[in-house]
Amino acid sequence: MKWIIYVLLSLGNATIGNSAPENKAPNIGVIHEDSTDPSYQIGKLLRCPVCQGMPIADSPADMAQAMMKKVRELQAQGRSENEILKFFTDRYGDWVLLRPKAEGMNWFIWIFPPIALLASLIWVFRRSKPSPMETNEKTDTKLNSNSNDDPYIKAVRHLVDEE
Amino acid sequence: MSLRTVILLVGSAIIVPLIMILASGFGNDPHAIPFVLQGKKLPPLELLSLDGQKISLGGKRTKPIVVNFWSTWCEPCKAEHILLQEAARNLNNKVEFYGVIYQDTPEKTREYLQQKGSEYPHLIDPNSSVAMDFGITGVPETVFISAEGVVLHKHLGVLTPPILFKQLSELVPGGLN
Amino acid sequence: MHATTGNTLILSSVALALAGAILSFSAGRHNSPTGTKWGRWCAYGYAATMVLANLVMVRALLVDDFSVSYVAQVGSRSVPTWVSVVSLWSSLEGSILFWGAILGFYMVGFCKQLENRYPKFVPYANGVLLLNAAFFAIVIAGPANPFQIMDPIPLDGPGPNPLLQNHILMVVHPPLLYLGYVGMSVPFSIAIAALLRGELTSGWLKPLRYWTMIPWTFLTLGIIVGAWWAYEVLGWGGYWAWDPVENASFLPWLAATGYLHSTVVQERKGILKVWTLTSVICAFLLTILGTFMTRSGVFNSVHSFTQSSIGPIFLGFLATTAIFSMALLAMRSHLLEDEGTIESPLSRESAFLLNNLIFVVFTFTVLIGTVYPLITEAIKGVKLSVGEPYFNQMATPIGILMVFLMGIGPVLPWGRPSSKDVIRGLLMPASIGLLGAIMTILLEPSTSTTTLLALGVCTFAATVTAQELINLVRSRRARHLEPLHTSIQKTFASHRRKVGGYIVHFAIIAIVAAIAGNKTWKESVEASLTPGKDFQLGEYTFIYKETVGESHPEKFSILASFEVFHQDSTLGAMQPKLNYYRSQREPIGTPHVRTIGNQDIYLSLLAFEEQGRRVVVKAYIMPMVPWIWWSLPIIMLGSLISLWPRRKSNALHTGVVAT
Repeated sequence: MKWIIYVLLSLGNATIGNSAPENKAPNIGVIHEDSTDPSYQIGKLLRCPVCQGMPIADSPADMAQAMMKKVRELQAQGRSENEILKFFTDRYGDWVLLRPKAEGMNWFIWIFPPIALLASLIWVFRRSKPSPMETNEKTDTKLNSNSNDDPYIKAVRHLVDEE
Repeated sequence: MSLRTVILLVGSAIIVPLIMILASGFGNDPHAIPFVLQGKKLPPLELLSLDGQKISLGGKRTKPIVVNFWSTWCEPCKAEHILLQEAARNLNNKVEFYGVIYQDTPEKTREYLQQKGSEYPHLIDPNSSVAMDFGITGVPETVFISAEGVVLHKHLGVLTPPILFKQLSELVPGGLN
Repeated sequence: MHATTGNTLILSSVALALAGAILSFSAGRHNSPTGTKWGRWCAYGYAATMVLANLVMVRALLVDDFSVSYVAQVGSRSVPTWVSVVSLWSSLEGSILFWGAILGFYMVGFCKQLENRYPKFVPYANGVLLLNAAFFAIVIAGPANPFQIMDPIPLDGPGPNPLLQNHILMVVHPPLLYLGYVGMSVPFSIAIAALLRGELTSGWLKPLRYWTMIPWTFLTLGIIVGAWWAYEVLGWGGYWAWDPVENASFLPWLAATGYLHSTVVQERKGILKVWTLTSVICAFLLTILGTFMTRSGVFNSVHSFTQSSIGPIFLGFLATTAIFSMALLAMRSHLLEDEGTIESPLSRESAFLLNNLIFVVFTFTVLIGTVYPLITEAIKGVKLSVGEPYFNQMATPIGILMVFLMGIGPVLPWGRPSSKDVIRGLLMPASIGLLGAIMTILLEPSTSTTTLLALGVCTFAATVTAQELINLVRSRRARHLEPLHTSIQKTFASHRRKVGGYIVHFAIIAIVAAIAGNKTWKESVEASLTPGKDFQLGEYTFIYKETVGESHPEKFSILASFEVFHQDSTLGAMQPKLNYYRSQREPIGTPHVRTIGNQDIYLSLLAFEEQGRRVVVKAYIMPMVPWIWWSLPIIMLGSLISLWPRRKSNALHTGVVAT
């Protein structure tokens, strides 16, 4: 984490003309982030309170920047991801987590997708079984009875078969 | 189970709850953010005021307090400042007022207050960490804390005289009059 | 003047739509060609009045007629002409008016195409379309009326939402998306007509497929262009945030895509009928849900319109349509029984069925995630957020599985294949997929396992797709002696749907690969600089020169100038901007995006000090993102091949010419 030489700037959203906030010591700061940066990863999990559903890691808003700085600070103190997340939920509630905790009612949204996928797989396997001759016959007669009154179907079948 | 039953069962199991959930959203404000401190004791906090005094918020005290988060780049905050000045001048024996400078520099604030007057202390919040402790989501926001140190209410946005009056009446035991 | 004309036109369109619906339904019941004709003329009338009403509104916006409520709300004297036109869809009332006009265009296209065909179904389909049109016309006439008369007349307006003024893609994105959304009402009407009529002949499925392909194409393009807009405007180096409104456009896309796949099986094997009709109906219902999400004020989103009272109306419409459709499906369930079976889990049918189920699971995952905060709020009174990290975590395995099936499906033969055939077909693509993953890890050792898996699966699916296309041409060449290009042309012409589908698959694979690659290889730097200072990102060096202000009638822009070097050679200037609009305090950025090879350099201005004494910028290297935008023409090409009408001789041959 050597490359995190971070200087937070209290540079606000300067409104035109009058009030770009000053900062007396203009240090040159550079933070490098990539997908392996743990602070960035945590910042991706926290919702910026002044934006519209954005994570603090991506938001340029002052408050998000301040929160990002807090994340880095806590990380530098050696706090774990869970402790850092707790720091923010203590202040903004579970609302601040963009990924709900897997607990209580929230289990529903966590287990629904995997279970539904699994159930789909099982269902497809159970549904597909070699058919006895009799079903095939039934199919044929039904198809024919449907198609007789519509000349168009032949054309469509012709086209489909071609593919 | 016949196909008809399946369609009706699955269909209703999806449509009915979905419509109910969507309908339940009408009363909500999707922008509202929960205020965790509501009804809780404020943890002890130490801050520096603009003139270098150490000031602690939180804990049991003699008077209820009003904490206003603001900054000079926020136009509504400036309008609100006039109202709070007035309130502080008239009620300083009943309520303590504090301003917390949000995302702004002490210099700018000092300059502004010199022009417009300052009836109550303004506290410096480097790194916005006090703002985070109060779960602030923007400015202006005003927090009302009882003399026992319990956070009673947070007002988002500009205070108007009736709103401030109502909140203060609830804050001061026995009312304002 | 505009207001009165507009209101008259809207009221006429209400009357025409209602009258047309009644005429069409009764014509359907009594098999009356005259009634059908009159119903059709009402549809044309509705379209004409609606389009005229839109033109009246555009004119009012262009001449700044602030006596019209909508112009007073979004118009402004200071905006450029193109912004005035775009204002038509920039706010709630106008966007619904625009919706009405697009519905009109679709109705004209649909009626014209099927004018003398399918006399048993067309009147019902027209009736459903007109009823739908009547609903929107009534909403425009009443609760969301853009033509109210202002008194007193304001001197100027605030202009549309600055986010919409900021990029030219906003001219393209909403119309594309609306063409996708609104168009879903056509396949819905076709499906409902079949159910009302109580006949499900395959002949009627052809227009159903055709009229789903069209909005599907627009919706796909609309979603991608929307992502592009977000990328070019929002300035945070992202293109998709799983925001409720983005999800709202993704949901009908999932359902419609599910339909396009299940219909192949239905036509061929007579199975999955329930799936087919249900997904078409759901695609339409989900567009209404999306409209509700965007316009009810119940969801918090960057894209949503301001709160309004029309939420309950749309919810009522959604509930009514959903319950009616379900009842109708149940009533006609005897038509939906499968006529065949799936004989082997390794067959093409199984792959299609599984694919459909995965689309359903994906749809529900996104839907439940999006509404979950409402559920906890209603049940426990707890406010929660469900955002990007959750959706990414869920969508990643589902997406990889989908691409995997995209690769497996075409290899599996119909019916009851032997495992040997399957293995033989898969051997080559699977090895190439594996090779792709190995190459990736060798070139970029830092790649995450998930990305590796995704890229491997993408390579696999791309190989299968290419192999299938080559095989099609090859099997023709085995039978005909002709030059290669003739073979390709003839093969493509006789397998339009398959070839078109495979071409679209390439585009989807490219998008998935781009998302996966970008996720691990994205890099960024945030820097605060004084003039003359520089910072580095990857092999690029950015030198900060100066900041200048630029004044426009509607905004004031701050431009920070950088010179960018790649190693030692200069790439020229990059100028990210911050724009301050009159109506809004928070600035809107215009990041500077430069595409170099298959990656973007993305420079975003976050903050500045007076006279540009210092600026804060964020620079990103975004590998593979251009692939997402390159997929746009590929999708268009694939869809066009699929939709291209057959030659007349072919139509004659099928025996369905005009009677």
